Amino acid sequence: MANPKGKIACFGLGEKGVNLVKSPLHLDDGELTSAQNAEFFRNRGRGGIRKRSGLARFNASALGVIYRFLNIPLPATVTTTILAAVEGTGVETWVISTNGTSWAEATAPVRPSRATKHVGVNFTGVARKIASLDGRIYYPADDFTQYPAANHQAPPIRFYDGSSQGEVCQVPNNPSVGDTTNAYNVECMQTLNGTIYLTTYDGLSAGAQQCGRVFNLDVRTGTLNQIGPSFGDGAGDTNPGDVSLRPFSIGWALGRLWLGMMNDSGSLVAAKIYSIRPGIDAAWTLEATLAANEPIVVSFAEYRGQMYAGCGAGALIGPRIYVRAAASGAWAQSDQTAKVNSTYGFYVGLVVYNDELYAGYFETGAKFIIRKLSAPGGAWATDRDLNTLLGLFGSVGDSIVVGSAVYYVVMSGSGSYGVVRKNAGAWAAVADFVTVIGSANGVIGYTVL
Amino acid sequence: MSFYLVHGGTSLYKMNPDGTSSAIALPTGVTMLSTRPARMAILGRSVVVVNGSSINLAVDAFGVARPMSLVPPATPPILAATGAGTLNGKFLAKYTFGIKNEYGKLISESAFSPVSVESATLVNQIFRAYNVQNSPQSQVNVRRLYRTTSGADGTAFFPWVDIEGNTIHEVLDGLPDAGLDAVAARTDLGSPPGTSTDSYLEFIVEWKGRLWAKGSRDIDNLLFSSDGTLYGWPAANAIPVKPVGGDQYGCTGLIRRRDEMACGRRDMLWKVLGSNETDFRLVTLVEGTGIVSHDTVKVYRDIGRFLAEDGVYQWGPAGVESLVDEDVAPWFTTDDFFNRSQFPNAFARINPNDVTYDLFLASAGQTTIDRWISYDIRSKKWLGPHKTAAFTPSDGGMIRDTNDVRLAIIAASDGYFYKQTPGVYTDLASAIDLDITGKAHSGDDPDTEHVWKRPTVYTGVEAAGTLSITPSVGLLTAAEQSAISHDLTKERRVHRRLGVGRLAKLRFRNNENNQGCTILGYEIPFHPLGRRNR
Repeated sequence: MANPKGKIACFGLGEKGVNLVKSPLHLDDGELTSAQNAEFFRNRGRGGIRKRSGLARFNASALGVIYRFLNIPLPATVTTTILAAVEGTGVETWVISTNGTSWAEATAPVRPSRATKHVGVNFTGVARKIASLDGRIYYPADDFTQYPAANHQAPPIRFYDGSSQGEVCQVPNNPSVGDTTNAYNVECMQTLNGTIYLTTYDGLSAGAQQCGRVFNLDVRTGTLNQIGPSFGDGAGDTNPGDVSLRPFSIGWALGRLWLGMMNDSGSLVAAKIYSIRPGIDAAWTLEATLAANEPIVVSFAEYRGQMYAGCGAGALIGPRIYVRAAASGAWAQSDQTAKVNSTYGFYVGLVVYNDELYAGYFETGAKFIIRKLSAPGGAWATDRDLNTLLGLFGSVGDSIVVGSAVYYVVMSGSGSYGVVRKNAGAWAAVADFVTVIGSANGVIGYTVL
Repeated sequence: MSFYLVHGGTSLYKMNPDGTSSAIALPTGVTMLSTRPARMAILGRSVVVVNGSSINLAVDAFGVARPMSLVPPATPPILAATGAGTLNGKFLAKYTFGIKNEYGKLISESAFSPVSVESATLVNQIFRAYNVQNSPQSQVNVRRLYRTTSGADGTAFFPWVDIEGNTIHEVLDGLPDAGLDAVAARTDLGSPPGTSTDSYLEFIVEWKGRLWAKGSRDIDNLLFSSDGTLYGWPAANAIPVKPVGGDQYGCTGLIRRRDEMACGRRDMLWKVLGSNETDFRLVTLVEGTGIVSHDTVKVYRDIGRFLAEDGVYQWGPAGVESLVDEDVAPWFTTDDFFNRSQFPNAFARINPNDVTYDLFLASAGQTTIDRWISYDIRSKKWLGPHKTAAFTPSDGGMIRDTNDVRLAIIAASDGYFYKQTPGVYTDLASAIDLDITGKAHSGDDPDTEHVWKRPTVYTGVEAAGTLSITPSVGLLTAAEQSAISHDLTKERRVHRRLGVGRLAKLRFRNNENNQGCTILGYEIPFHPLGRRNR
């Protein structure tokens, strides 16, 4: 810049940067030929130039030569929350844990449907599965007036995402039962093959046939879509062959939805297993009829390509776990536990954990154990006697695998409740759960968010 | 709040915003390499990792690593007629390996096995499908069978049945044709390079809901995945980047900005047009300028910037433009400043706080990256080359801390990330060597001798410190004089007379540890003495 007064005035060092293209004679005032470790700054400093700020370690431990890194704009920690639904006189509706050992009571969301709303005589007290999908839980809620009470309502299905909750839809009535009769309840609700499925108990038809249906829940639209025909004795229904049989448990394997039936009349008519390809098949396929005195299929699990069904039995018949042979499609006994008394015994909560198949087994007041199968075709073994662990007999509820542990809900015969957990190879009672839930009267289902 | 995937040493880490980290368990047999840097892209809440791992990986939001794509079955299933059913005729079958998540959703599926031999003629029977192999990849937990319908020509396969697990080898099924899925088998499956260890993907980006990449062998093809999937890479999804066979480098980088993407070779850029498999194609964007290092490609505010062989360019709404031609071209066109043979190993970052494009290079004669230069995006000016005595840079970028505040980061070969610390002027206890040289002032009369009088220097006030000012007076080649000490605790200082000569130049330097230094400007009074005739 020309300066007639004979003075160079250069106050723009922070404006023009390095220039190596021009000859040094032709540089403008403020242009630089090198600017090592310099930076422009605009925080009340435009026009000036300064030393760049220092560099300090961000991480405490060296990671080896860092070749590349990428910022992932997703939550740094994904918290897994276990929710166990409870019922009782207290205001708490759930007990919640994020680590499996410390539990706290919560009054939200709305309580799931209570055990007393699970109508029946054979199998009402065991916790049902509650569905979880993509950061939300979906469950049959308790906030409705159940048929046949006055002003009865349709059973609602609600969601909860950890902070907000709401009703998703209601179970429609079953025409085979009656146009003015609302369904009784949702029996079981699970996420299978990426879709939420549920079974309902709809009530008795005019012919005293127990009726029920299977739906999937489209979580995008909040709509229920019936899978296959209803079970009942109405027009177009699938008649299970006995008035006391109705849908109960569900599972998924071999591209099929598997349905376990329950005889809820107090009789010992054999339960059945059906299958269907949702969206493809128009009818249910009868896959198996259990033996006499085996009135209920409680749980399913697919293990190493084969389908297992945990069943309940009455009289002196030892309850069994059945397995479906891939080669023949035939169902055969995989495990059987001899009973002590002439009461019911159940295999519940089939679940694959650490590549082994687990099942809870209980016979009220007599046996209270966890069974395990380590390989297909092998022998089941008792992995833990819960009586010796907890000092009581009770019923084993559903199971759930969270992280590196498997959990079973335990409901004692005396009205106290708990959770047992296997982690790092050892079973232990989750003491805090019992402490927290002390004032509650039951665990009616649990899930993971 | 974000987290970070880090390729450090021979491990893959998940690092949290507080700097804590944990190694991610890799699938059995998979290793991270010390010979190639990982390159990553995000699609559908999963991060794919290529180049730096022995096979391509996909890491989900929980930090679980799985193969990005699965090795397909090598042998066909065998179909046999058995039992009583409703099927009649001859059929063909094939199958895939798959991974289902905890909800039972299929999240990865391999390419198809070979097609089976045609079955015997079924007469009111069902199938026994056997010889269904187990996958050697332990994450596989389902095998999905597909079959033709009765009497079909054998080309239309339909999803048939899933064999869950990775154990049993056969299944019995009598599902009639009418019960098959109405939608035919996917045609968008396939295995990209890096599915197994004999090849790899060199770089990868996400664009238009697909992954785009270059393979290590088929270097002239731009590969892309099927819509929305990490794992489906049909062989047909390859676009030749001409001139095929034109050099030994093939595709050298990808720039995605807005709704556009450019694919570079060393000496040209192509623009990718189209929206799906049927019309993806390339048109020439510019000839004579290409990408020399994919890791220098950074996009900020709709403009992509990258290192070419002769400088840094930007691709934006105005086309492809040089960022160095008018000022710092010699950095890239001579051997005086940087080792140009190391340009392919260069990398860059965007500093979101200073709004700069920082390019990391090896200085002249060096084979490790030890310098960086900064392009101020707002003023369009360059500063540098910068250096540090504290570490050797190995990557750069941005992270967010526990308060979700953006930090400009340099990663280093010592295993640490280094963050900018405004107001602190030390690199891990090493001094930051500020060194600035200005122009040679001539008073607009370079042929006239001048008396350069006492300069006044304005600086920011610091608590301590000394700025070293070294004058050069005379011709352009004049030697540096002894340095003048400028007290940084003072805002303005008048220094000694500079001397007599045609030109006057000042060099400012501060190499004190933990010492800030701001230079606001200077004045140099002068008067002409006259013109020498010799």
